Amino acid sequence: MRKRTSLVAGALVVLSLVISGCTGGSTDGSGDDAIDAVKIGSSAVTTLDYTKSNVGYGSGLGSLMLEPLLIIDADGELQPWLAESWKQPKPTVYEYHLRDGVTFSDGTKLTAQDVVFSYDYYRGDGSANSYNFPSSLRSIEAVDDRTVRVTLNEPNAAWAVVPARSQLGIFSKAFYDANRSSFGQPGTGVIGTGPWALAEFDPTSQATLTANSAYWGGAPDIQKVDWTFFSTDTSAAIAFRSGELDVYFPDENRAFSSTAGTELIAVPGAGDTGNFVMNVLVKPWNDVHVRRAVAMALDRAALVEAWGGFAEPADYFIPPTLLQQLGTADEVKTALADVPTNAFDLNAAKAEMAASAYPEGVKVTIAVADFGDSYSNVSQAIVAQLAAIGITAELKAESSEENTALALGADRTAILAQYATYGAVSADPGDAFNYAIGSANATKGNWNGTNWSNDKVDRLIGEGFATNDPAKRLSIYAQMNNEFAVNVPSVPLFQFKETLALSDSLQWTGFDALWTSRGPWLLGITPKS
Amino acid sequence: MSGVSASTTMSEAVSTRGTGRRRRRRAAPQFIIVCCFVFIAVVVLFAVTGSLLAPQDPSVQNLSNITAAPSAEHLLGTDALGRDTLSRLIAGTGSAFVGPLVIALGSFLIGNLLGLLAGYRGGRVDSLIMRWIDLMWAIPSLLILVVVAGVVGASYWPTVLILVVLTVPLDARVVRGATLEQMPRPYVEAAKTVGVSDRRIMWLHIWPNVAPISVANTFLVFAGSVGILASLSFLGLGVPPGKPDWGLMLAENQPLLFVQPLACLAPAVLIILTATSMTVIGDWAYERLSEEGPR
Amino acid sequence: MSAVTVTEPVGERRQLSDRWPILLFIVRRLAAMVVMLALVSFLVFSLVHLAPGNPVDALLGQKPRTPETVAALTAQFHLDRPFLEQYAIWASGALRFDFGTAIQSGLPVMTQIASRLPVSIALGIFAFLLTMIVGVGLGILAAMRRGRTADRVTTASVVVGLSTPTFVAAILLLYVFAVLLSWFPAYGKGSGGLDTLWHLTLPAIALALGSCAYVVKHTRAAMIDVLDQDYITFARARGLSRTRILLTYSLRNALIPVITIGGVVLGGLIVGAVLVEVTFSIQGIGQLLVQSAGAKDLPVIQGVTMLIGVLIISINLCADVIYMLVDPRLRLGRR
Repeated sequence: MRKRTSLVAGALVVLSLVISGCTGGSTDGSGDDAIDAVKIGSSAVTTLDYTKSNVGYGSGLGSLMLEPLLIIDADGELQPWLAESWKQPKPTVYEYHLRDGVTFSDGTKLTAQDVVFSYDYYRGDGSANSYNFPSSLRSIEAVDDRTVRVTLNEPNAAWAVVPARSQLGIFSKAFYDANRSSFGQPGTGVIGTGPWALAEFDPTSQATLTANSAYWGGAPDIQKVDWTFFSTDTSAAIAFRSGELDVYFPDENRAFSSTAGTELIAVPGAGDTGNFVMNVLVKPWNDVHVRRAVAMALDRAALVEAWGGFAEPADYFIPPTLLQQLGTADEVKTALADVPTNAFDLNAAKAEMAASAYPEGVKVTIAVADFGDSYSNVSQAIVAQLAAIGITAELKAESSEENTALALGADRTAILAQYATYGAVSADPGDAFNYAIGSANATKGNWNGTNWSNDKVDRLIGEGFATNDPAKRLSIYAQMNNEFAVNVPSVPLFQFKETLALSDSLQWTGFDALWTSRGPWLLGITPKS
Repeated sequence: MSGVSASTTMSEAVSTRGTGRRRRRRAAPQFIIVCCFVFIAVVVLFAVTGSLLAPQDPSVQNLSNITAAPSAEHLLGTDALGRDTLSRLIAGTGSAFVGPLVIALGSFLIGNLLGLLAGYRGGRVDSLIMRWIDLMWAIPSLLILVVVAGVVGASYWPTVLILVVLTVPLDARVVRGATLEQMPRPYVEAAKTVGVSDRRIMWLHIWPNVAPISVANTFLVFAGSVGILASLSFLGLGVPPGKPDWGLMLAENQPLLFVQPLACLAPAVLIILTATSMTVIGDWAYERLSEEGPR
Repeated sequence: MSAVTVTEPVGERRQLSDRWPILLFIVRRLAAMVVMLALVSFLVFSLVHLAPGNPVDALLGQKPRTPETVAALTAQFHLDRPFLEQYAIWASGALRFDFGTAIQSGLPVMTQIASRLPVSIALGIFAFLLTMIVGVGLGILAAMRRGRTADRVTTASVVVGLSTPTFVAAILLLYVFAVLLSWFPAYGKGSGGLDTLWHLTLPAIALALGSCAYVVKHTRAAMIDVLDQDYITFARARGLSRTRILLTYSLRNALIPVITIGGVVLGGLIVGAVLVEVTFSIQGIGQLLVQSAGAKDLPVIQGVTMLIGVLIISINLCADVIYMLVDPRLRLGRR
């Protein structure tokens, strides 16, 4: 099968140089150091046009070709990537200065116009990617060939990390202009500045990428990437077991691990959390005592097991890992010291139930959408645990579309209580879950499924973005966590770990939760010494 | 194939030359038939009593004892939520048996009515039913169910209902064919001449001759429905999560094939056994009825 | 079922062929097919329309969205138009063989179907060949050895084969041959040529199992029927060799009804393929249907349903025509 040549002597050094944004240490990766091919898998990617579908970048495939302006390093700090430097001359203005000598894989030069065009394309009407841009964004313009200026209507602290999002990879404007109708589709694909270029793309089975020898960071050591699309984690696991797959990011972790016969690499997650969400507009969830009882009746550690492991019990709405963007672990701990955690305590839960309008217990319906076995398992476990405090729950299966339609619908009372995953859409602690909180989002087309908010939370949301002072922001988000803990519109259950299945012959020393914010992440994978 | 083939089998079996020599093929050795009856009897027993006879509560989870291997406490091990596999199999008998039963009986009743009517009266009733059958042939039932269930998000009883609607024309076709075959027989002519009412001729004279094939067909429809309902549960389009159901167990426990294969293989075997037993009993019933029938 | 002779029982076909020549019959059936497809497409369209959820939500997924994006996409897919107008837009395109653009991928539906069709066709043909070759072979064997062990084993396997749902067979095969023994790959379609054949072996067996049992049963019945005929007894009495009798007399006559069930078998294979493709992770037409049904991707659902409808109706039509051509009684317009 795969022929593995001897390991790359200087690869790690090169990598660390590349990751820290240094262009000086460019080396020739071909020759003896090269790896012939790496086999990666993901769920199907139908198009690489990010405005058409937001699946492409989620899988990690797009990042190998399209690079962002900035990346986030292991410490959570922004680092240069396509932009070698940036500044904020005014609170509402950001300027990015592009690296010199960067070319697209077709040999043309990267200019500021490409960046402006890509950003404008992504945020256009009808783009599935437009949610990445805050509404306060006024304009993106090219000051000169190598300088991009972003102007906001009002200061927004969350903008800083936007250029590091993997969804916002820069593509060639000239290539787009030449292939307007088929851009991103099979047969045409995309052209970016990344270390690999698309050679073949068939959404029904696989994509092939080949090394871009003119890559600005030096030709990559991995000569070829065979990317296979799987319809289920199970089939990917079987492929992994038979050695037909080297790299995979599973969802159904425990099942994948046992089927693939491999230990998964698991690192603390970036901030995605699993929550039990209650719609406060309907009975019995409008009773805060019921919600508190639920919070204390749910045994997080057991629910982690039901989920299939690979998660840590969670205590706060905005996880401390995200808050550490704004301060050290100790500072975060101090800030959260007074926030109640509603820890598992059946007696206290029963007492709350007794104090509620339903001391004799109550019947409820809980929705479970078809997002996979883990969702179904954890929902069933929640039903079992709620029975202990007299809440008799019945599960109602919803298709994922029905679920989404209800969650976003105009009739806010139609949303059922359910287990839901809150994805952190940004590395910024304020921006990460901003789409799911506040009264502005408890409306048609928005994601606040609890429909709960209060004046204080609404005020804190605005205040959090209005300042750049980390200490001030930390205090604001600690107060927000307190509001959520006291009013319990949702119960934080656990925080996901980031998982990876990696073949025994490879290693990825820098793998962490922010791997998608690291540009062409595959540069981090090397043969095992 | 499953249901599709099962239903077509019968329609094919309606010979155009039914008066010909009856082929003797003992449906199956006696003891196999007995085994099938015993097995179905056990299934019926569990379907009626539900989880009462289960060694443990099928829905009780034990998250500290997940995917356990078979032991004295859990004869078939436990699943991903630490529930007893054997108890869930027993509790799942209900949905595995009742749905197919409703489908088989429902399509038996309606199918016989329409089939007899179409065969006996011909004309507009006949061509209407034939168009319906053609439509069902054009888009087979499983595809309709996949679209309906995928789009609407089906649950158990609506699916059963749709299956009745989809199976009726196939049943009707079988009965119609058999009726058409009886029509030219002298006894029909004779009954007409002496002024017996059409209704009496249809039900008291023709139907008894059609019954063997129709009854046997019902068993096949049952066997096919077991497969189709399980297939839908397997695709996540049948019963809601948490309900013990063989098809759903197969789907849920498929990832456990490497850790606890019994959790996945046991429902698979039960599905096959149930469908096979029903087919064998159907064969047997056909032979008995057509031997004793008033032919 | 008991071994009764196998022939297509539908009386209407006979009557038609009696009255009209075959060509007219085909034309009439083709016209009926168009009407039927229109009916089915309207049915599916209404169903998807009535169901909760909408394709834009499915497209944007569990992500925040801006109202402008939702509005633009809604307009792009004509979802803001009245129901009948939406159908008219689709139908006028379909008449020109333009099935529109898939909502999920943004690709033309035809392109998407075309890219998935080859593997489904390969799987279908593979399974069909398996079914017919193994099925007819075993059927003849069982008939020739009537009442003996070979016959009993075959007959028993037929009952089990007919009763095993395709997906159960698929899982069992997957477990035994791909997982326990690792003889065959467990997923995907391979990289073309022999590799694809190797990848499709297990799925094809799983798919062929049920229909194979069906063919065995019918071949056996038809063969036994023929073997009991007077002309065979006569041929035997004349001292003709077993092989000669088998080839010249029995096989030819026994295969007539078997050919005609080929249509039913192919139709069943197309449906069964949905489950097999899902189990073995083969990205074919069946999986496309399941995925797009989940995402309410109407253009794709419609495209695939039409394709399968046309396929099955044409197969049935072909089977009828072949039946008319090979059965001398029908060809001569007599009963």
